[in-house]
Amino acid sequence: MNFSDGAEGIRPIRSLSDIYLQGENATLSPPIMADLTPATDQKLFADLRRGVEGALDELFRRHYVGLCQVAIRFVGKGGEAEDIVQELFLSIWEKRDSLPEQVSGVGAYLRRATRNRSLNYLRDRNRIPVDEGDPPDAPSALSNPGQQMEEAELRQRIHRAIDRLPERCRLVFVMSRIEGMSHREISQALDISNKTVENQMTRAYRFLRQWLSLYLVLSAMFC
Amino acid sequence: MNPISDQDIDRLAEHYGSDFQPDVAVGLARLKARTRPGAAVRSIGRRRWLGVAASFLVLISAGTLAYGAFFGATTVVNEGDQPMVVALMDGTEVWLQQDSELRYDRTFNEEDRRVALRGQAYFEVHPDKSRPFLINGGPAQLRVTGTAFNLRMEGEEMEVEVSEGSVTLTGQNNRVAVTQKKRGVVTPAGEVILLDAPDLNRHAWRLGKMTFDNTPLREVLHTIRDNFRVEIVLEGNEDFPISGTFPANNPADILTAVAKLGGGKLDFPTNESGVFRLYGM
Repeated sequence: MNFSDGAEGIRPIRSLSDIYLQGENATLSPPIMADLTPATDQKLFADLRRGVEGALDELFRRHYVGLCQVAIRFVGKGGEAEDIVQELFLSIWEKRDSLPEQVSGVGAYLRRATRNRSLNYLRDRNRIPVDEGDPPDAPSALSNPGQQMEEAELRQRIHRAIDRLPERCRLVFVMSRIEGMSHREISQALDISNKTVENQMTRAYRFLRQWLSLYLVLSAMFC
Repeated sequence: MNPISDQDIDRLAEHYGSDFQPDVAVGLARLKARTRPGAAVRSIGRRRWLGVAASFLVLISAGTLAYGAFFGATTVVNEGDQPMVVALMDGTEVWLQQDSELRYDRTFNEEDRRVALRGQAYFEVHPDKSRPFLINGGPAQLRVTGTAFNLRMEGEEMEVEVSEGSVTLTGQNNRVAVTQKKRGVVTPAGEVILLDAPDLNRHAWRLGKMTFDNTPLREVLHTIRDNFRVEIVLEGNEDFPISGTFPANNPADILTAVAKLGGGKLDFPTNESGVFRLYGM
């Protein structure tokens, strides 16, 4: 496979279809070939409204993984997350005539829809807790004290710690810090007061900090 | 030691949920089966079929139980570190992947040829039209008369990739013929999905090579993961297409090549983590 290294900060172009793969949500700079710009999400969305099936496919390819990752943050299970995103795409296809004419960002629109569907999914199954839940157990033992705490290792630990937060606390933290929702949006979505959102955030940070520092202390002792 | 700030926690939590990597090709095929009913999957008179299936199910499970209790079943487990070849009495040969399990009972080759699989295996089924070769798993059933295919049974999901001839794959409500260079999947929910498999990459664990043609990185990693049944974590959101034929005698070889192509690094599994980790691409 041939590809040329771009200048620093420019993503190397590895093939022509690489250019097509870059949506407006690509995290790195677009390639420096102005004539070959890909169909934007906006264009695909407009085509979708006109009933072009290929546009649905391309939007699916671009956004499926990211949207499933949004959904799994809410529902926790991969199969459920995929079902939610499948339903979303099916619904935008079936209701293509009544989709909004202009959306400012297609990615943001799809993410918002996924969040709402995930919350509805939890609500329909009575999985949105109405109370605080028990405080999580503190980490009890270090599984491998001799090992260096690398960044990736720490990240894994934090992810596992988030999973262990009481469910309402976990949802509030995920919605705020990972999904970037405002406190007002969260309080409306979960039907709780602003004050409760703030309390849950404090609680989440306190627990995650304790969890993390305990590991760091233990690993410092043993290394 | 520095105190841990909220920003540290935000930074570490940033990728929460991002290690979930669903298979886009399977997802898209599933969507297409619903937006265009009949396009990928042929339905066969749903209500009638359900009735037949239900009555058969009762008979079959009763039969298997009785025979199992009276005569016992044979279970072959490959605990070694190489694929293992099992020759069945009907002339069928089965290449059993490491940590996989094949089961059949004494009635095998009487009226039909029933086996069960956990893990992955390649089958060369001896042609015999009068005794169909049948594999059940989860909601799926695979029916073969004589042909060659790779079969993977992971939990309740069945996946078959056919290298010669054709097999019939049945899910909850429908049935599909999987022909040469096609891949059929029955999801745990019983949905049947049909995909193209021009490169027969599901056979790589046995043949030692994998071919990709403009395949997105994430799909490549999926193929490697399923084929060698290993866990792979990709850090970051990078995706790019990969083309070429790679030696794939083991997951380490091909993952090393992929990491090199993407200008990234690969960590091998440790006793602690048990996963391959790709990062820095």
